[in-house]
Amino acid sequence: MSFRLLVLNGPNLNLLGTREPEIYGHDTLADVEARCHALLAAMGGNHELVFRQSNHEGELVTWIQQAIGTVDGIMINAGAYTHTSVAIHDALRAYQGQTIELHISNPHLREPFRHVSYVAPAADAVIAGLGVAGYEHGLEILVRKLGEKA
Amino acid sequence: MKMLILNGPGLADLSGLDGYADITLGAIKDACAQQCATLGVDLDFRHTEDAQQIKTWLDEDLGGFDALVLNPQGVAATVSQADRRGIENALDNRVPAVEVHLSQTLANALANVSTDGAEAAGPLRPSNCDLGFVSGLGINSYLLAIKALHRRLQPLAESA
Repeated sequence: MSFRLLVLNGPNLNLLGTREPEIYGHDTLADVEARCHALLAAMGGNHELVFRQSNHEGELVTWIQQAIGTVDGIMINAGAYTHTSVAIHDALRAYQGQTIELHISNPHLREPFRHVSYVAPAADAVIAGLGVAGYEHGLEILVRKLGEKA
Repeated sequence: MKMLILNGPGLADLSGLDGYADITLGAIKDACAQQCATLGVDLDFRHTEDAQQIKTWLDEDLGGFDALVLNPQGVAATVSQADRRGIENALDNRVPAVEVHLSQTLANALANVSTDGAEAAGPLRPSNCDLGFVSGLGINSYLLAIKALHRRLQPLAESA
């Protein structure tokens, strides 16, 4: 069984590795993407992964809309849009596949304005505060959950 | 590597938990034990229906472990905010930890945005703890937490 997977990254994640490394670490987003592809290759099953990043809310919304009916599972790190975007919330509500909300740090331990998530109510699961390794852990569990449902 | 897994009130009977009614605490314990055995992790798996006991275990026993997995289900409903704060304080400056939940506990987060006490009922917020958060994956919430903590600590264990 092979699955079509989409990993979405929101604003400022293109700066991963250089922006506040004490919080987000030294790995770049390209490093993370490479490890996600390597993980899926090691898992077998010929899963298809599209890994994207945008600083633009509407572009993220469009990608979620395009995933409807074409992608089996989404893992989304919406960055700061997590705490503001009703549009991303609504797009995820329209998406019927498995959705995991991901954060590198744990937003609940940070400023109060990061304590509210507009993504979480539209997500099946939340993973936060596991560092960039959370991407691989989340992707692995997403494939496992899709396999259980299939 | 020694790992402590603590389970709070409400987990003795999961029959009322939507989507997870077929899971038992025994099944969670067995799955965690298997995962830890696979990774070479020594596991101490505990459960209490008394939220105060969680703080006691953290205060008295956590020093003997390298990592903590905590399912604080029922804590917010059974103790005062001050006691909850005590549990959060007991996590500060200790070992890496992950808060886990079987169900997606943030599914109704927006409904609580303007409700008094929403912060008190949400995820734990220790002020100085390396604390991850995993919810909505059933037993896999625990297994992911164990794996993540093992991966995080493994380089330290190898260099020790």
